[in-house]
Amino acid sequence: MNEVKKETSIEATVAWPLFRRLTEWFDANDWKYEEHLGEDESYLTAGVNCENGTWKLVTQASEEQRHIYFWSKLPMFAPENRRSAVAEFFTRANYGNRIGFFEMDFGDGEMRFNVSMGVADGILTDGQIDHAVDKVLNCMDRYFTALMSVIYGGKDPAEAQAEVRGQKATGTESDPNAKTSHANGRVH
Amino acid sequence: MPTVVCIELISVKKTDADRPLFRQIAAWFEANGWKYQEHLLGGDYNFLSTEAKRDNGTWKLFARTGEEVEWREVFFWSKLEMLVPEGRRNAVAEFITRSNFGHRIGFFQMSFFDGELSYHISFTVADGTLADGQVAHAVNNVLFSIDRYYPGLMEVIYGGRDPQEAWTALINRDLA
Repeated sequence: MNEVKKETSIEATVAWPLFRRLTEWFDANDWKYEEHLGEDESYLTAGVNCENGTWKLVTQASEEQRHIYFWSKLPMFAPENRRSAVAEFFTRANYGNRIGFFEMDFGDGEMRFNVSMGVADGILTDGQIDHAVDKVLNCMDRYFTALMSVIYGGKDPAEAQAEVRGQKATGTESDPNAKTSHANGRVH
Repeated sequence: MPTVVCIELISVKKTDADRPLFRQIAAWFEANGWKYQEHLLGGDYNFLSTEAKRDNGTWKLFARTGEEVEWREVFFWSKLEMLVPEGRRNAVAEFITRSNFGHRIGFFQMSFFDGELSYHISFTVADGTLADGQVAHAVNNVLFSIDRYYPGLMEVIYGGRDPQEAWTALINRDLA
């Protein structure tokens, strides 16, 4: 991943306080990333090696709304004729998910997993960023193979989702929130 | 002779001090004049319920917390009373997938098992503190979203409307 010049002035910290909290966390954890500064919304991107692939992680801060967003977007688009199946798969995957959700753009087939937070008048902590990053990457990595089998293997979404959760496709949903350790660590 | 060991299980009563996030949300409801009920089922199963009137109906709102060190999380959701009939669940899955896309905070969930439909906002508090502004933001956004999408959902579920048409009509209404 390319690195870009980082704005480190006090003025930048004042102008983008949430975004600077994010970059501090990435710096402190020795992640390589690219940053993209905008007037209100700034974001940074990083590539992360996990068990089933290298996922692009994007984090964005909206300073005016005091929101932060973390997501991983897949490089491929769901073909039009499989979008209904993917919608079913995501709906099943999202049910019972305590933090974060899968989303798909029916217009072009873009697929993401998102975690977001309204910071409001609170303080964004390292632990909150840590949780969000782990959740995004673990969910993307955990569901990826099954998602591909739905899109490209023509697999039934209920069966694919049940396999992810380690049970037969009986229509019951088990706990999707079991913590998983980061696939193979944070290799960037 | 085998030795029989008796173990006395000691029930530890959880106090308010053990559930600071739960108490904080309850305090927010009180401070803002909301009538609410506490459902004390034990530990992280405890939840709060209230209801609020909006343009399209009166919606139930629930809140729950995870208080363990590794799981300091808060959950807010509104659940519709009706269950989506089996024959309309795929159509609703398309409608809520369209609705969830670009929804930066919160999302719809549906159980394919029984058709339960709900809108959720949840986040991790972790090592931080829960601010009153975060509670207000979550409560208002859950109620806003369930109210906003309700007519479209009903058209899809009970009117047999195509989910894309219903979603497009809803967005166009908002833009008008």
